[in-house]
Amino acid sequence: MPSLEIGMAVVDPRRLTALDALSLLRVSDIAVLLGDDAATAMLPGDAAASHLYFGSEFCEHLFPEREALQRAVEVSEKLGLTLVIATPVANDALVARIGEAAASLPENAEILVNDWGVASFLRAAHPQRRLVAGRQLAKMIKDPRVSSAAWMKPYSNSYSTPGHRRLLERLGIGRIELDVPPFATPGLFSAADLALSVWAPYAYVAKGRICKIGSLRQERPEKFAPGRACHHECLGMYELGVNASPSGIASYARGNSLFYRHDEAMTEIVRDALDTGRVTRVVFSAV
Amino acid sequence: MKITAPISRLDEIEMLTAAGADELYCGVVPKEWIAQFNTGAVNRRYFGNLGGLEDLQQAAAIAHRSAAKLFLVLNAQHYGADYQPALVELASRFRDFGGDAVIVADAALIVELRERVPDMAIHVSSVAACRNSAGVGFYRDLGVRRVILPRDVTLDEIGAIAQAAGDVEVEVFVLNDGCVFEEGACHSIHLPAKQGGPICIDSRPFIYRDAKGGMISERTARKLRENDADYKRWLWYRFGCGFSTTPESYPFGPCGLCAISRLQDAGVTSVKIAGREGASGRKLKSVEMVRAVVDRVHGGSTQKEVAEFAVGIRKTEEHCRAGFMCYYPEVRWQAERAGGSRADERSLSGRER
Repeated sequence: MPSLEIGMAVVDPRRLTALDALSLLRVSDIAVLLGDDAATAMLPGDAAASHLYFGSEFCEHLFPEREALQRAVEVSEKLGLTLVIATPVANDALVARIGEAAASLPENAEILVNDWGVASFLRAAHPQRRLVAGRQLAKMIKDPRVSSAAWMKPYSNSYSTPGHRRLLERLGIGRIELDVPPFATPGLFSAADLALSVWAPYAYVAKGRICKIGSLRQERPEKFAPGRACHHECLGMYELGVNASPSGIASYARGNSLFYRHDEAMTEIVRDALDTGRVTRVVFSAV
Repeated sequence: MKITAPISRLDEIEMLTAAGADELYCGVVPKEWIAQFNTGAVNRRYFGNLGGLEDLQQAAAIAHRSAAKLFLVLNAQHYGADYQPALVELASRFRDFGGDAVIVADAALIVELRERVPDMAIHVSSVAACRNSAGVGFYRDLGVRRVILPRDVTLDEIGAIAQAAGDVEVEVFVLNDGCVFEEGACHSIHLPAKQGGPICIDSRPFIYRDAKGGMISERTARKLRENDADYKRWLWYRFGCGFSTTPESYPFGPCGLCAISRLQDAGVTSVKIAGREGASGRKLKSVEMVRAVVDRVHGGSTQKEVAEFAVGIRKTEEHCRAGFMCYYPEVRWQAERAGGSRADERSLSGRER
């Protein structure tokens, strides 16, 4: 297997504590930390992780506070991991916070961007910071309910188009991250000259700014609106689809987003992409 | 402030401009496209498009005769490389017809169009989910003329973005149709109803689990059930209150009429009425409502007067109080907050420009 980078994603700052007892983060540890042996089964358990992803790609309310960021820096340094700060689509206030965070991170830390505005801002304000294009910038159809590949055909992905490539070049982005859609083929990972990451074993389907669970503690007229306070209820619970997909793909909802878990065919696509070196980083996450 | 309204038929153009629309937007599926790609998927809607390029040419002529502008949507979240030459060709034809701008979501397509059809103005679709001033700057650098902000932005955010936008125009939603997820970050398909329909209203059940996959306590489960019921009610509002109307045919559904004063003060260029696929009557009544409110704003009415009038149009204050029908709930109607005055119930018949 060609040189492979292995990442683990942490959204909840409290989960960083679980890394304290380790001196090295191995794939077997990731399986334990995620409570999910099957998630990492494609890799040898003694393979060492290289990257710690911290924060949320999907929710502005989950961008880490300064103390949590510092904690993530300490943990990643102790374990010899490159820190990757995940960022969502952002309003102006969050863009400013992301900028402050970028100034405080170690030199080798990366920022995962899902918003052209955030990417543009960071490139101007922190020209040396390494940026990675997140899954929301690599758009593709990935509806777990569809019954055939024909549904995917009308809108093929755009991340391998010349225009997209020029945008990434302009922003100095050399790596893009992908999900595996239903009925994927190896062509999914054809984006020449770009380093590719894949997330496993969950892919996101949709995310909104309105959050059902985030409105749990609000008075009725104030629910389901942007700009409200959030108590991070999503960190303590998620929703599991009951027979949610005729295709047999398991669906989940967490916070403002919908996800599905890779089925065997998708897992095989990931395994093949890692074996052939088309994908050079895999990021493991919980739902 | 301009009013931007959807059309899907030629006979809607004069009707809507007479009712007060300043700008119109439409989609088209050329027969050449279907022949080449074997699909009608050009702009996220299989329905609600003009009949073909001949209609598009006529639409531009009729709109201009009516002193309105016409925009063409090429607004899928993403297009593959195979589709881009056809999209460039479509934009070129529209330019030749005198079209005023294309509405585009895919940043890669914006890059292509700027290079290959440089004299065609580009509006960034709400589907692009441009939600910050830096994003507007990013698109400005790509050469766009306007950015349409997504749903679910606050009035303060709109104000900050509009202030920073400089020469880039800002358009925001004001009426009809609400996606649950952010359009640009939703990778699902609006399946036929038998297969689940739109994923945001798919009624297949979910069950709550704690973070470790365990059961939720009964006390929490009870709160979650109540919240779920509220959410279901919010969804009903989000989808046009069951796509219902008042007896006078004014449509219910996501609405920002009370916020038009604030939007005007913020420097917003245009307010957008959604619903290309809607019936002509729904579009007409939507334009009438928005025009009546915008005219009051332009006429110098106070924010309170405008809100009272806006709420009075449909005569259903309870919906406005609920907050779930509001695009901008921070100005949600509260009669007591407004001094207990009754909403204005004047008729909207006739133009009041």
